[in-house]
Amino acid sequence: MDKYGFRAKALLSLLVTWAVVVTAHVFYYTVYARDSYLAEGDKLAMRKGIIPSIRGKILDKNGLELAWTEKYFDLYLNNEPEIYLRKTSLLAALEKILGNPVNLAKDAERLLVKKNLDPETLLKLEPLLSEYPEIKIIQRFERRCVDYPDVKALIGKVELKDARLHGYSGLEMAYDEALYGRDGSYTVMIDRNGNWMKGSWKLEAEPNSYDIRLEKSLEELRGSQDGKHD
Amino acid sequence: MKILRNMDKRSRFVVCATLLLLSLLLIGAGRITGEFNGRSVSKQMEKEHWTRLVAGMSSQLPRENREAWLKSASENPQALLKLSTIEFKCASNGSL
Repeated sequence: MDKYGFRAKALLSLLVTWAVVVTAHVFYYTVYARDSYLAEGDKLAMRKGIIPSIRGKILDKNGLELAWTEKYFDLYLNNEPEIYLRKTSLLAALEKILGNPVNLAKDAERLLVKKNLDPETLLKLEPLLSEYPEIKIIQRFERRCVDYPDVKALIGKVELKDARLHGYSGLEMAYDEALYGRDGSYTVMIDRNGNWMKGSWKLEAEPNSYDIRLEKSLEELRGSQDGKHD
Repeated sequence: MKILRNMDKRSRFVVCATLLLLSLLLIGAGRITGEFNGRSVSKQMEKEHWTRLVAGMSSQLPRENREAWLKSASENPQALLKLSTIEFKCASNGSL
């Protein structure tokens, strides 16, 4: 009986020790070291996305748009797929979505496949981006202006630097900093396939653009170019 | 309390130790459940955030595409947000 009593006690002690060790581990990972492990995991999986601000509008005193920016999406092919089957399937997929045959120029480092994609086509193309990293959809910003040469001259020009529009002359240059706006950003956790993990997206800052309102109307500006502005 | 008083010292120790272990486990489980609940709430809110953010971009598009953009934004805001992102880099440092 003593022999069995000893065995039972030994077994019980073993189980109690095991329970204590397991509990201590659970407590350590879930409470004590939780934050440091989360921070370490974030470093590996957390990504920051930048949403570019769009250049602000230049308005006349009545709020009429004199200069504004429009955003377009273009489809590019960075590298032609080397494997024949892959190339064929990519071309077939693009043809199915775009509706016309895609011809790839040989030796082209980056080939423009289609400009000005409409939103419906964008949604159809989006799943292909992860399947075929060779294709890229790139945003393009174009500055538009009212079609009066004297007002155009007053407003000035913009130039493209690092895929952003910067004031080059006239009011565009004078108010460049204000018109440039502020980029937005967000953070998100991604899995090993690059998919966004649900519930992990956080907005850090919304993109902001600032408009400039002039003190003269379009008609007044057309009469004189020496307008004072806000 | 009466039950505890009737126990010998050894049994009281065992009961207390068990309660301590259980409470530690419960604290840990509570932290994990709290994390899951937080994510569940975020899941519902993030789609609303994406839709609002992406719909707000419609004014940046040419007029002929604005309506279609709003429709697409309600269908798949995440895809449009991804396409409207210019940089996607490690949150700590360095780019992807």
